[in-house]
Amino acid sequence: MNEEDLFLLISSLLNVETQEVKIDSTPDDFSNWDSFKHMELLLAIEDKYSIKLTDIQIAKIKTVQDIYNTLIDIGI
Amino acid sequence: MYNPYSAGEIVYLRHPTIEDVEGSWHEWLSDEELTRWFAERNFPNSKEAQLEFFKSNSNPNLSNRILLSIVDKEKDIHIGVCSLSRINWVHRSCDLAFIIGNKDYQKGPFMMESFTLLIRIAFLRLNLRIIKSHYSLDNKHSVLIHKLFKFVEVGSIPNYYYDPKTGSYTDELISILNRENWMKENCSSN
Repeated sequence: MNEEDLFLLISSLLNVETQEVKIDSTPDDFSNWDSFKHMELLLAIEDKYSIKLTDIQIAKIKTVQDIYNTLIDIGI
Repeated sequence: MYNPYSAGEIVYLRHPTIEDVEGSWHEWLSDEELTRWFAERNFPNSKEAQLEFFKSNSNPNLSNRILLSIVDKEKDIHIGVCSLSRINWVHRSCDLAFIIGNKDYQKGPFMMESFTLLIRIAFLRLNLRIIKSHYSLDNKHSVLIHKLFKFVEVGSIPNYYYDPKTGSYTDELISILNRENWMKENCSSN
C-alpha cells in the first residue's frame, strides 16, 4: 500500500497540496471536506483500488487514518 | 442514549419524542435549502403541524412507516430524521428517506452512519426485501450516496421535480437496493 498515492488522491480531490494531507488529517482540517466531498472521496477510492466498500466500512471511515486502515484490512 | 432502536459509533436512531417536536425539527421542514428536493417542500411547517405528524406516527405497530430520530450519540442531540415508509408487508418493500436537519452535522460522516443503520434495520431487523428510493437527478448528494451504497438505478421519470431555485424541472431517478445482493456484499461483516 503506497501511502503517497493515497495522499495524492485525497489532495487532488480536496484541491490542496499533497503535503497538506497527513495520516492524522481529519475533515476538520480542510474547509471543503464536507459530506459531499467525503462521498466523492470514497467513490474515488473504490475506483482507484478496484474495490467495493461494505456499508460498515463506509460508516467507519471518518479520517485519513480510517481510509488507510480500511485499505490495509482489505489487503491493498 | 435514550431508548435506542439502533446504534452506531457516532449516532443512534430512536423513536421520535415530544422533546424532538419541541426542538427545531419543524424548522428543518420549512428550510428552503434543506427541503429543496422534498416532494412535500411546498408548504410551511409549524410546531403544531409537527405535533400532529408526531401523534399520527406514535404507534409504529399500526403503521406502514418506521419514523426514527437521528441522534448524536456523544452529545445526545437530535440532528435529523429518517424513515422507512410505504412499507408493504406482503411484497416486503419500502421507501427510504432521511434528512440531517441540524446544519452543524452536515459536514461530518453522520449521514453515512445513519444511512447504514437504516438499511440494516430494513433488511436485517424488519426482514424487508427491497428498498426503493426516489430523488432528483440534480440532487447531487442523493445521487452520490445511492451510488456509494450500491443502489441500482431502475428507472426515471423525465421532468418530474420542480426546482424552485432554478425554476426548471429535473428528472426523478428511481433506485433500488435488493436484500439478496446487499447480503452478498455485506453479510460477512455482520
